[in-house]
Amino acid sequence: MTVTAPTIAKIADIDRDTHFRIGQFLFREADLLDSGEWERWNDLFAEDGIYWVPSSADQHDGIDQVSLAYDDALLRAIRVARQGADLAASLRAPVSSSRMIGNLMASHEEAQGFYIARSRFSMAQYADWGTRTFHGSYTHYLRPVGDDFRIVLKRVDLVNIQGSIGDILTIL
Amino acid sequence: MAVMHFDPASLVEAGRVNHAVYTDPEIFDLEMKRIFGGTWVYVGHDSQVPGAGDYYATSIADQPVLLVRGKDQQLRLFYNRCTHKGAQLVNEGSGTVKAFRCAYHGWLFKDTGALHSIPAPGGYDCGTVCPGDGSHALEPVARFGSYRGFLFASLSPNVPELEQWLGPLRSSLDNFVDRAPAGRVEVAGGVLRYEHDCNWKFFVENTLDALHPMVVHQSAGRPAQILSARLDNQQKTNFVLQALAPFTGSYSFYDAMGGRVMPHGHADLGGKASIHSDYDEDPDYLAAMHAAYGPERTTEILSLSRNNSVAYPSLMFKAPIQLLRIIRPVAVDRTILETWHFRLVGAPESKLRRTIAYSTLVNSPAGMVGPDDHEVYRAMQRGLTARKPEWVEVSRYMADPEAVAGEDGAVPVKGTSDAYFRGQFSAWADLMGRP
Repeated sequence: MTVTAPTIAKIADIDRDTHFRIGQFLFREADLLDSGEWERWNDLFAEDGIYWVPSSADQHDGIDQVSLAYDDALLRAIRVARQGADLAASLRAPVSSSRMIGNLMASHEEAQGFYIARSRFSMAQYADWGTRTFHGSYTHYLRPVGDDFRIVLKRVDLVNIQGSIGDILTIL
Repeated sequence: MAVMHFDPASLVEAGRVNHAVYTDPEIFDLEMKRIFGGTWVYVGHDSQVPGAGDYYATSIADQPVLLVRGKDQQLRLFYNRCTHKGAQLVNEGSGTVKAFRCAYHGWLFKDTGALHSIPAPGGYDCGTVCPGDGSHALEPVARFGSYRGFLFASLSPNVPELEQWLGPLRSSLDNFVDRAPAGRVEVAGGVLRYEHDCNWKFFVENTLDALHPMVVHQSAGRPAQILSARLDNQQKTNFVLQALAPFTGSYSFYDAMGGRVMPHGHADLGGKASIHSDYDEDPDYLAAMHAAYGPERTTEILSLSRNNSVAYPSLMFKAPIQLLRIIRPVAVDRTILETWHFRLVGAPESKLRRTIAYSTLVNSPAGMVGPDDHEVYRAMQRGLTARKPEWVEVSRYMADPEAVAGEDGAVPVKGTSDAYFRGQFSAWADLMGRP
């Protein structure tokens, strides 16, 4: 699926309340991840939702081109179980993270029935071998459900993706 | 060169290896010269430079190299260095050029490597630099060759012919390509570059190490098993579950798949069976294979399932799932691992998609398999700094009466044998012992 960014013209169409609610949703998601609440994070996804970390900036899909992560519901379930269990060597010593999200822009894609939110993030990941930082953008496709949202797509574009990448032990 | 404080041959004994081979920076420097600089090393695939003027810049260990397809369709490999002051001519990666122009003083090189022109040539009236006379051309790498599209180079001229060096391992590369109905593969689907904090040798060993999956990869295999038990039969055909299931395979499963140890450190794990042999096959693919090869030959090709093959020192490939990994050593405790994927020309797109799904799951730095291997490599790198005990154990199945070389020089071994590592270190000691 080709990911589009919110266009300037469409950003103006979003009312303040919706913009605020989208922001709160993203902060809540970030907090669940930084708190290691993996199952609750997974609950934020729509049934057909995808968590995606492409391997290049111009990548169009996660099917014909390799990704760092391209998780449908089944893969997210395995990932979440793995994060939570005590089996993974790379997760045996605690891994913690802290992230900031900003520069939020959002637009409403009426035809598809979801909102597109684009934000920037900076995250520090600590493991016993050291601290590593990740920076980049989030693109969320958010389906409105009551006054809440469900994630149809979360795409994470790392700013240094053209170089070599070290372990990503948390969920971005 | 400084006088070495060790004799490389003394670090490898029957059934054991000295810990210093993984931790000593001086040994690493010598490996770059004598191993990566002393034998054939995989560079890339010819489909990475399909058209005239296409180039691909990479490195052989610490040596920057530049692969170019000329207008004459000839592939050439040069040191990626301007012959003037020495600037690297192009950055790593791919592109297309009419000519290579050095970013520093504008020297211009043809795709044949010849020096085409320089600005203000009059200053060289002395005759030392004269574009067109053949001098100051890009320096070609000593040996360069292709085996069925897989490109190898040697910085040293003193190596056997490429085919002879590959030896029986050729049949594993053949199997990689024969799986394409059109008999051709091409690079597709992007690259993963994964940074590791460990010595390069852990990768060539671990890829053949059949005693680790059930320990290290439980964390992905167990959740997959638990989820799988909850699903109906239709959902169980999901490729991800099929891919993860063998990671918790038993010791007898891995022992039975067997392997081969070959001259020059080459080896493969798996043969009649592998972790890939129980995948469902796309009927359209089978039909395309039957049309191309006939049913008998198709069965012959697809029933050979070599899990992992190693062309020592730096190429690891998976013929049954069309991907290869390249080891790029950076320092004694730092290595970049690249994963490249291939399309089977003439096969339905489902084949590439399977390759991509597998690699995203297993080879990514955010995947569910790779980071656990890396954590173990880190533990090895730290543990091996201990000065006592001095030796690392590689004696498993050292007295296997069935491990006898066949006519082609390949030795059949059990899946969980240490014979792979003994073969690698025998090649290592041989190359390191050369002046």
